[in-house]
Amino acid sequence: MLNTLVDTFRKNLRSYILLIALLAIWIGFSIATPAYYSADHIQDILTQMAIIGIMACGMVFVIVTGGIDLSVGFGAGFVSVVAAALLYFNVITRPLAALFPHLTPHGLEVLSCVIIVVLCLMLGALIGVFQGTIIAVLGVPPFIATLGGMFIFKSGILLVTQGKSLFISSNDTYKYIAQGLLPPMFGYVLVALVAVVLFTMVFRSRARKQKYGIEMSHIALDLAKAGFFTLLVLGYVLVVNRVTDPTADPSIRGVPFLVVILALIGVLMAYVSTNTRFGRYAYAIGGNREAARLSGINIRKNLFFVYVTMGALMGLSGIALAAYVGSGTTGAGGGYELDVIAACILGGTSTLGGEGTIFGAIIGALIIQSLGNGLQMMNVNSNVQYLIKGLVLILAVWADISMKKKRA
Amino acid sequence: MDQDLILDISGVSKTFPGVNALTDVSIQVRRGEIHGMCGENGAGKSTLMKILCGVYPHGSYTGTILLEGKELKLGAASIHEAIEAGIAIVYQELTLIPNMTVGENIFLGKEPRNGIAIDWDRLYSETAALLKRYKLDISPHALIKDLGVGQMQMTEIAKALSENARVLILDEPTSALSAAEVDKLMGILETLKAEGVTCLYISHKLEEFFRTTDTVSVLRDGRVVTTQPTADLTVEKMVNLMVGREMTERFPKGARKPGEVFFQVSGLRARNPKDPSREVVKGVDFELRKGEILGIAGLMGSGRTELVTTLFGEYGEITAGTIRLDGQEIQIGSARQAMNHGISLVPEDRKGKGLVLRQTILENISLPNLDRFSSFMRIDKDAELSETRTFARSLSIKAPSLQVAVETLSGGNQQKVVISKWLMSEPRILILDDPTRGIDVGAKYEIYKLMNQLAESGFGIIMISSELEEVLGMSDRVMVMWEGRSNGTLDIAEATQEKIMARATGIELAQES
Repeated sequence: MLNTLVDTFRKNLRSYILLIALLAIWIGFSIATPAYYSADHIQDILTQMAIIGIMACGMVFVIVTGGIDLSVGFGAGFVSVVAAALLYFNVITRPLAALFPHLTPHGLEVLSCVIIVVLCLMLGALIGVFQGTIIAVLGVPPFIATLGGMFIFKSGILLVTQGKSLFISSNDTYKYIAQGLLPPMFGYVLVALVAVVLFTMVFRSRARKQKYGIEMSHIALDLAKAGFFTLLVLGYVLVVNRVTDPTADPSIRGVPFLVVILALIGVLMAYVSTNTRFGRYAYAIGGNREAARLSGINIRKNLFFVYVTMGALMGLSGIALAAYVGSGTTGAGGGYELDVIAACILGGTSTLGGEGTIFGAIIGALIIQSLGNGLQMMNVNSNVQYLIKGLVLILAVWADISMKKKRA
Repeated sequence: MDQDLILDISGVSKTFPGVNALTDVSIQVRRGEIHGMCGENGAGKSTLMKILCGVYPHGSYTGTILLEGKELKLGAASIHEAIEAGIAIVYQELTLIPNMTVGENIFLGKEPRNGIAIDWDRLYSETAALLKRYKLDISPHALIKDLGVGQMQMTEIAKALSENARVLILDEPTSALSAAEVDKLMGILETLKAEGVTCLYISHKLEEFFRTTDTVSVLRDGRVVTTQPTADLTVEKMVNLMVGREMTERFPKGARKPGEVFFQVSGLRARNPKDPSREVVKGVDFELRKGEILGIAGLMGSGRTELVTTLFGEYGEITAGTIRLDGQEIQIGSARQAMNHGISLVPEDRKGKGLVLRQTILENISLPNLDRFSSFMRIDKDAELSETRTFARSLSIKAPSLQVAVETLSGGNQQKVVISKWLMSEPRILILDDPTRGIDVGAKYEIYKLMNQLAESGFGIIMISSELEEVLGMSDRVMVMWEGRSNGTLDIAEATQEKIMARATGIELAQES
């Protein structure tokens, strides 16, 4: 039995290597700077990576179809300053107050926040429609179309902010999106939910494999995997609920709201990628566009919706970005596109198209964020941080390529 | 030794983990001969060629190879070592750069220089001299993308010869050529022979060995079964040697009973949508009966592939003519529409157009058929799996599971995956564009049997083939195409290779109907 375990492990080495690399980064930084291991930081790191991670979920689809989106950084930045401007100038609140004079200030805040979120999501999707049209309908190569978009959104940011920072001081509900913590109780419900879902999935998938006589890995391995991830989530929840620190202020206990959003988006997009026609077609288009076309797949339509999805997720990230920073700044989102693309590639998405997973991209985003945070906490000169990120990216891809060669 | 051996391979064995690719292979090649190599896919031909050109370096195999009496010791560094030693290979997949000229391609990586600048005058004059010496009819300044497949092949050969190759390996050089181009290639081989170049000629088309080669080596399961003068062999003997079993008929005769006509194409004209001034289909008429196999013959460039891709809604823009299914006129503007009318196309280039190579058998087969398993947000994976498995089994696709990538399968099994994918869409008309290209003899036979079964169960099958024997062996009727139009349909009883060629070359014209 041990042999079969080792065997399956070896076969799936690639997916484990990412996790191992992540653990190595965490352990390394924890030794170097004890603050890395603190509850504060652990609570923070996932929140911070969520902004990248949400976009990475869309970027996987874009890259899988053989495209690229360079505009997501400034695009998200643009959405974030629009959100900030709507709040800063009370664009929504003022007419709402006039319309519903009986609303409490808190109610007004919540309602305007909901409206702004919906508007910004629509703005993101609209940007996706715009780019999708240029790429899928007009046939402009994605690299060029989105390079253009990058410039356009940068201009958009400057036009909206007029070179100033727009502070979101009036609406705490909005800031909750990125800064809020869910009650500790919710964390435990989450763990239970994850456990139920993971273990059900193991048994259902095994039942199906058995029914169709598909070779499957050892049950112990499957259970261990599900158990491992449940424990991971449990560990995280225990830390962020600060169970070891009874003196901690209740206001700093709990799972960040944004992390739950990321998890939901991740699960949804992972499902879409393997269980819907849209997902399958995206992989087929990237794997062999001609074969996909001759299989009756509407390439334009599918590409169009890939960019619309990317746009909507970019909108979501923009919303979170404004809430996290607490303001709309002129430099908002700049450089995020590189982190997002790097996250996908670290996570095993092939730039040639046809290959890539959501799970990998999220782990990739986590690696990038962990690295960035660690270097910052160690007071590594920020001029050198990019250098290290760049080297890690190249090293990871090189290792992957040489591993593939060895197998071949 | 009385013979002048240029290449003496003795006792070569090569193993991969779990597989003996070559076992004790010994072949002697005489200077200046054309030495044929045949065998089923997986027989070890490619492995042997890869050893000869250094892809598998010296030391990774056992046994010795003598080139002109000296042991060949190629390092792992690059294939340039083989070229320097005098062995050049012309690959099955063409390796030219489309946007460069013939001259640039031939001298790629070894451009004559004048200081640091490329000496273009010398490059083109040397190219012209080379082409003239071997009687290759191409312009040194032509862009590769403007050439036909046959001319590209000639450029490849010229490129190999420019390295002063003494041994030229041709790996299935005719798989993409029309009959006329094959004739030309045979002429070139004669010229090369006269110039003293030794050729190793690999092919799946057995007739070709009798046209060109002096000697043939037959490989089976990594061993040399025989090396004999071609004159002592026959096609039947070779097939038996290759497969190691009796195969009395190359084309299984089914019990097809063609029924009534249900699909009619008349006066069809279509133009290239990317270049509307070019008409690619210039008047095609034919009918298809239930349960029959209609062969389409014609030279490369006669518009065969353009016709069937137009019928599948994915190439030409139809400008005139009608397509009738069950007497009703139908419109076909996309693959999806064609599928809805029950038309399926197994395209000619299986790797380039038929399959997503890195995806699994399951994903490839279900790709055009996902609608039937899917609701808006969900693919019913149970249904997908069970139905795909049914097809994979009934076509006996050989693979460890449905979850393996199709790139790992042999050509024959890959083709079965493409056919399964289209059978699952429940077509009434199955169009097969050169379905057995690059597939070994045994797998071809299985594909033929499958075609018979399908026709017997009532499908209308349209088969394009570049091999006249295949057209004659499998069809009930043969439509011949010439310059974009149909030049008559022959009943199989009256069809002969000569008659088909006369129509395909326009020497004989069909009576206008």
